[in-house]
Amino acid sequence: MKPITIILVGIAVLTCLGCTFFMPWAELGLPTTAQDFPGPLKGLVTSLGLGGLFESVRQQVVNGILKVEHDPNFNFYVYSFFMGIAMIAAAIGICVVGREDAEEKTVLPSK
Amino acid sequence: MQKLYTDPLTKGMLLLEDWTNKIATSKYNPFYYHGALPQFFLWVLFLTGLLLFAYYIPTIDNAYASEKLINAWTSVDYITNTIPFGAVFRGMHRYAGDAMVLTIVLHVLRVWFTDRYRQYRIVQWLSGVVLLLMVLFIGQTGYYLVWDDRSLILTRMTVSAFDALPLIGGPLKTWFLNGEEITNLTLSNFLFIHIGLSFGLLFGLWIHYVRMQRPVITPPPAINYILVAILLMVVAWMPIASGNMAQLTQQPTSFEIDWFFLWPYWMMANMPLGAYWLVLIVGTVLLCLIPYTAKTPPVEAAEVVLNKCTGCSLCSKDCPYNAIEMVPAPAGSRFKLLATVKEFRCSGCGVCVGACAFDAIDLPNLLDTDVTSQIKALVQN
Amino acid sequence: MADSKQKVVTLICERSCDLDASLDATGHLKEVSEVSVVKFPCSGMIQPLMIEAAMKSGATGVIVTGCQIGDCYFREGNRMIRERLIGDRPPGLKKTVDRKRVIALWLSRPQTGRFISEAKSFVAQLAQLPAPAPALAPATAPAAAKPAAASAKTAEAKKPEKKSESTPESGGANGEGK
Repeated sequence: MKPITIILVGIAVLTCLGCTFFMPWAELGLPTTAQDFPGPLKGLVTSLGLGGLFESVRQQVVNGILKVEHDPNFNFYVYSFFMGIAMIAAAIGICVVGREDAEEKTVLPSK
Repeated sequence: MQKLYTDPLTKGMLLLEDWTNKIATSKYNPFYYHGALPQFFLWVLFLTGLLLFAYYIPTIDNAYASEKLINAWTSVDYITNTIPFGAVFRGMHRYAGDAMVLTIVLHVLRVWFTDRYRQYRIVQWLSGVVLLLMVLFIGQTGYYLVWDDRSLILTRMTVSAFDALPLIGGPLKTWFLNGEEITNLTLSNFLFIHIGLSFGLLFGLWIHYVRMQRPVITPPPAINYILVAILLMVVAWMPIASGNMAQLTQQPTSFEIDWFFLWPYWMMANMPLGAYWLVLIVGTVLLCLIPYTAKTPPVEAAEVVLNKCTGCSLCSKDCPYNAIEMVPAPAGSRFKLLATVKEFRCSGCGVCVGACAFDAIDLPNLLDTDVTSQIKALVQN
Repeated sequence: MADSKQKVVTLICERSCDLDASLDATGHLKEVSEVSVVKFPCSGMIQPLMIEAAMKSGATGVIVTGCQIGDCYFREGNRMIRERLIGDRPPGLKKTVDRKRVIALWLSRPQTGRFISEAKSFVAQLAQLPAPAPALAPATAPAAAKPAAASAKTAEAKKPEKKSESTPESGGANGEGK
């Protein structure tokens, strides 16, 4: 595999995983402070200091990209938005690997 | 041989595909799966539709048990605002329909521009026209089902359009409304048309595919992911919302047009109904006639050399158009089967010639003996 | 033709890359005069027998050319001939045919330039191969493989050439290859 392939696949995998991380968060209703998270996650959010990250993602996606802040279903829309990005990243990763199968030149296998 | 691919549209299409190949390679070039794209969206529509169907109630009121109003509009509202992800599934159903129309148009343009719609493909073209009309009508019935202001005005416009037709207009209107006026039965009829015709699409698709061996009906998984992802992102970006609940006593006068499905209503609103039907019917007939306008010599079908055919059926398996049938060999033959060419299906491509190890099938305008001697002549001088 | 002993026959789909402007009156490529061209309505029509016939009548190499995989005008012709060449679909090539002397290209209409450059490098690659053994002479050892003194043009052709040193396979007339 060429290095560019590996780099692209790496970016795709990271994007995909990152987005899947935000999907359950969106399902929870996009909480931004530790006490809004369910039980065991509260401590995790506080100790890792993720509140700021969640706050800025919420700002950018809900108010910036999607503008769904007044929609009662906004968390589901954010979920499907992240799922969409994750799937596109996955597809790009697959394509980058799979496109090496496409052939414009066939060299016959020797018998 | 005739000059190929001289049309500027064809050349443009081929250049576009060439650029796409440079990025996506032939394996992931969506132009090479153009027919499979609407088919994929059809599966998406079936799945999301199944989910909506589970909660949809096809009535305009519940006169028999009227504690709380339950009807089509409130059930859609329940799907959208109470069921988790209901809004997302509803949006996917809506936008997958739009995407299906879009990809059908892409499919039509590609087969048209690359000259793949005539002669031995005539059944595909004609069934495709019928399928397109069915898809458009099914999509419109989907807009009636929501039962908001727009549904009411669309229903009334359709009724008046049917009324304008001579002879069949009255019966069509009665069929459409499931009675003489809008009642609870009307919505169950809409639901039946919407779902029943969708399954009718499968029959139409069978005719669309029946003349092809191994039709390409599934894009590669990676393309499927991208298609679904685009749907998801559009759903999030432009959420679907119903209008106000339809009130039979009111007459809404304007509505938002979905240009993929509702353009006929724009025509209805802007021209006399007689002219509307004329445009629709003449347009359909013209679409059906397009394949007959181009003048090209008829296909010269492949011919089996009877005394050479061994009945191995390789040509029959490889023929891309199901044009070769293996029939029992005549009495006295050493072999059990004999290949026969259905001339009306044959494209004259010669794949059967390549499949035959016995020189037992030939294109009349290009014998393989001629090809071999041409090769020899080129090598030896 | 005079400057090289190579005689390459191209069996090409008339809908694949556009060679009309690149051919001279005798059916040879203007830019690579060793290469002559035979057109077919579809690459699926090409019989493995025709490749054998070309080799038998003295061609040193054969280029099979069809449209991009997935884009056959007749739906499946290029996939068919591709599988036949590889040996996945009957009828296949006979074992006597030197696999080093056959390549297949899958090119769309505008890719004429790609065809010509591939044809050039294929001719150069053929020049590196041991002389063809015309049906007889099964014992001919592979001629001294030319070491890496190849020009930049043939650099691409080197990898397959290396393999040819280890597997001499001229002669041995037995039946169908699969």
